[in-house]
Amino acid sequence: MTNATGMFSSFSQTNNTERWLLLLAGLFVSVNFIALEIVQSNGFSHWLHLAMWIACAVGGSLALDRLLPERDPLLFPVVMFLAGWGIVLIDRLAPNFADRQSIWLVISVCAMLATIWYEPLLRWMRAYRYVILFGGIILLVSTILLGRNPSGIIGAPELWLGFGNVFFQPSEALKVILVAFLASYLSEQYPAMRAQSQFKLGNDRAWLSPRILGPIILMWGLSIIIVVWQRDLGTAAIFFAVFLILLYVASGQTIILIGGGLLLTLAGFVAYNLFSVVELRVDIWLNPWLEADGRAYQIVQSLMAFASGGIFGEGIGQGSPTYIPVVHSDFIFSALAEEYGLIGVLVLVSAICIFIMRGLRIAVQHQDRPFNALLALGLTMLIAIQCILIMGGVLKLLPLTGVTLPYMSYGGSSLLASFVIVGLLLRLSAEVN
Amino acid sequence: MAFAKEISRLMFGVIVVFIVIIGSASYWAIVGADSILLREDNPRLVEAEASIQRGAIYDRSDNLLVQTRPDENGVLERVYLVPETYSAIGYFSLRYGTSATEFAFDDLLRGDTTLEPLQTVIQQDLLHRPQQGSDIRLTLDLTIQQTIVESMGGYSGAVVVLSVPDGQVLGLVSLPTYNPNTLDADWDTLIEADGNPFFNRALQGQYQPGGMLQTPLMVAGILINQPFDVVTSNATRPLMIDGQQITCATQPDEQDLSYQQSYAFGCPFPFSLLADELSSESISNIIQAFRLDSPTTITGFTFDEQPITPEITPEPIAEETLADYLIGQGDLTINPLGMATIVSAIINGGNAPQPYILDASRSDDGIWQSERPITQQSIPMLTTNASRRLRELMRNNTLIGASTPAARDGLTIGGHTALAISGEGTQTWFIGYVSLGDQRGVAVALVLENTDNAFDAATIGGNILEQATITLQQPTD
Repeated sequence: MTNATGMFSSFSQTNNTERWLLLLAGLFVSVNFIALEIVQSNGFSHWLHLAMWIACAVGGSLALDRLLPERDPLLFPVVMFLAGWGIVLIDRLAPNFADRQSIWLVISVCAMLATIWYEPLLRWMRAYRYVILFGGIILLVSTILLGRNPSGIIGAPELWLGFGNVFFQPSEALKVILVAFLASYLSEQYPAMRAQSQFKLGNDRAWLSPRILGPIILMWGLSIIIVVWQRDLGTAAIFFAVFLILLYVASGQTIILIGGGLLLTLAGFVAYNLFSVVELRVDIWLNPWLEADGRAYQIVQSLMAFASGGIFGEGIGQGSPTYIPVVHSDFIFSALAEEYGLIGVLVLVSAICIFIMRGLRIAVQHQDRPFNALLALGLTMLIAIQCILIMGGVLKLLPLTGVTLPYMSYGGSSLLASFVIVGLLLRLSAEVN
Repeated sequence: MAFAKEISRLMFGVIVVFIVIIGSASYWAIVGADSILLREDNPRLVEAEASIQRGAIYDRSDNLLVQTRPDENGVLERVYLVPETYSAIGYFSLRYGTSATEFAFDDLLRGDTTLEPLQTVIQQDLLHRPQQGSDIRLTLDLTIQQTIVESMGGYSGAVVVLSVPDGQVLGLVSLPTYNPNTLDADWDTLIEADGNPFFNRALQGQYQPGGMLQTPLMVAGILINQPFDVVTSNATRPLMIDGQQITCATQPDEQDLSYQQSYAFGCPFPFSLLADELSSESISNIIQAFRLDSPTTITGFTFDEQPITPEITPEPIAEETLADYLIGQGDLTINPLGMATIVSAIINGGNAPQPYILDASRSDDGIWQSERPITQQSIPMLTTNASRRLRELMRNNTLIGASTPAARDGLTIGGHTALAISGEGTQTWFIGYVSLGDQRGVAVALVLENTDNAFDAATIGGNILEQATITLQQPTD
C-alpha cells in the first residue's frame, strides 16, 4: 500500500512538472509563431507547424505517461522546447524547409516512443554489441561507397544515403551505435582497466597497456578514415571526443584525455597539411577578416549576427541572419543570437546545460549498472560535444566543423538520432527506480 | 561509486566550456559589436540604411519636392518629384551616398537627432521601430526654380537667387544636372558625361570673373573718388587673353566711353587702365572685403575650404599680374553664390546676409519647427554710400547698357552683364537685383557657360527677378 502510494506520488509529481514545463514551452513556441506571423505572414503553414509541434508534445507526453510513468521530468520538455524553437527559426529562415522539419519531428517523436516501448532494447544493445558494431561499419562503408549529397553540388561532402527523395545521414545513427558498442565493451573491461592502473601505480608506462592504448588507436584510425574519405571533420571529432571521455571515465586515467588531445592535435596538423577542407577551416578560424567577403564570409556574417543581436536581439523576423549561408542548418545558433540576443543565447545554453546535467545525473544514478551508466554518459556527451563544436565554431572559438545544433538545426537524420538518444535516456531514467 | 569522480569532473568541465561560450557570445554582442558592425562589408548597414523612413522635402510654399515611399515590393524608395529642383536637392543613394541638400541636412532627414538617447534605446533597440526622419521645408521657391530652368533653355551654368535682407535662398540651379530617381542605373554614364552633371556649379563652381570684377572695382573707384565721367578713347577695343579676345558684353554705338558707360556695357579696356590709379594693396582689400577669395557657403553646407578671417593680412597682388586681375582674368576665381551675396549687400546698405536654405523641420508630432538662424549674421562688404551709388549704377545699366533685357516695366531692377574668358571658351555673367523697398529685394547671380550672349543672360536674369517679385509679394499664410 505504501509502495503503491509512493509510486503514485512520484508519477503524479513527474507528470505535473513535465506538463507545466511543456505548457511553458508551448507558450513560448506559440508566442513566437504569432510574432512570426505578424512579421511575415505565411498563410496557413505557421499554424500547421505549431499544430504539429503541439500534437508531438501532447501526444508524446501522454504516451510517456503510459510507457514510462517514472521517467525524468525535465528531458522531454527541454528537447521539445528546443525542437519547437528550432522549427520557429527554420520557419523564419527557410520556410521551404519547415514542412519537412515538422514531419521529421513527428517521425522523431514516434521513434523516441518506439525506443522506449521496446523494453528489451537496452539488454539487446548490451548483449549484441559486435552485431551493432558490424552494422555500423556496414553503414560507414555504404556511405563511403554510395554516399550522395542532397544538394547535388559536385565536390560537396557525400555523407547521405538516398532513397528516392528521402536522404539519411548514416553518421547520425553511427554515433548512437558507437556509444552503445563502447558502453557495452567498456562496462566489461573497466574493472580490468582500473585494476591494471592500480597494480601499476607509479609505473609511468601503465597507460601504454594494449587494453587502453589499443582502442584509442582504433578509434583514432576510424576518425581519420571518416575525415579522409568523407571529409566529415565534425563527425570524426565527435566520435573521437566521446570515445576519449568514455575511456577516461571507464579507466579513471586522466592521461587518456591528455594523450587523446595530443593525438587529436597531431591528426589536425596532418589533416591541415593534407586536406584542403581542413586547411580552409583552420585558416578562416585563425583569421577570418582577411577574406571576409570570400572564404570566411560565413563565419564573419555569423559574428556580425551576434554583434547585431546585442543583448536583447532584433526580434523574431526582424534581424538579417539570412546573410549567413546555410543559416537554418549549421548556423541556427547565430540566427538565434541575432534575433533573440544574448538573453536568447543564455536561455538556450541553460536549456542545453539542463539536458546535459540531467543526462549525467542519470549516469551517476546507474553506477551499480556500468553499461547503463556509460550508455547514459556517452549519449549525453554526444549531445554535449556536438553543441560545443557548433556553438564554439560559429563563435570562432573553434574551427568550423559543420555539425548541426541538436534538436534545433534543420536536418531529419540529426533530429531523429537526437530523439532516439532522449528516448534511451528516458528509458534509463525510468530504470533508476 | 565507480564513475562518480570522473562524471563530476566532466560536469564541471562542461559547465566551464559553456561559460566560455557565453563569455564569447557576450564579447561579440557587447564589447566587440561596434568593431565588426561598422565594417564596410557589413550588409546589415545597407539594410539598416534602407529601412530608414527618410524625411520628405518641401519648398517654401509646402509643395512636396521629395518623398520616401514603398515601391510595389514594399521596399522604401526615394522619389524626386520636381525635375527643376534636382540640382538643388542633390541625391540620396544607398550605393553612392548623398549630395547637396540631401547631404547638408542628412542628420535631420535620417532622424539621427530626432530622438533623445533614452527614446532611441526604447524605440529602436528594444521595439525595433524603423528610424523615422524629419521632414524639412526649404526656402526654395518652386515657381522661381521652374522659371530659372525654363529660362535657361539648353544653357549650361548656374543661378543663385537670394532674398534680401533675410538671406533666404529662393533659387538654386546648376545645369546640366541628372535625374536622381535613376541615379544608380545612370551612374556610370553620368560620371563620363560631358559637362560633368555631378558638379554643382551654383555651390562649388569657381569661375573666371572677367568683367564681373568691374563691380568691386567701381566700389574701389567710389572709395578713392575716382571720377566716373572721365572718357576713355576707344574704350570698346578688345583685349587679348591667351590668344582670345575679350570685349564688351554688348557693343555700344560710341567708341569713346566713360567708366560709367563702360560698366554698363561691360567693356574691359578702361578697367585695365585702373592699374595706374589703384594700388595692388587696395585691390586686394576690395577682393577680401567682398569675400571673393574665399568660397561663400549656405548655412549647413560644409566644404573643406576655410573662410578667410579679417585678421589675415591680404596678400598683395604682384604688379605684373595686376592688369590681368583688373579685368578678371588673373588667378582669382569666383562662384555664383558669392556674386549673389555681393548683390545682396548692395541692396542691403552694404551688409550681406548669410545665405540659408533650411526654413523648418517637422518630426513625428507634425508641427513645423523653425530652423532659421536665430541671429541673422551679416557680412559687411561696402559702405552705405557705396552701396547706394552702385545701385544707381546698376539701375543705369538696365536703362542704357548690356543689361537692358533685364528691365521690366514697373520694377526697380538693376544689373550688370559681362564676359569672361575661361580656357578656350567664353562665359557670360549677369548679376542683378530688384528692389522691393526698405532695403528689401531679391539678388540674382547667374553664369552661362560657353556663350557670349549677353542678351540671353540679362533676359534670364530679368525673368527670374520678375518671378521673384511676384513670389515675394504674394500674401503668405
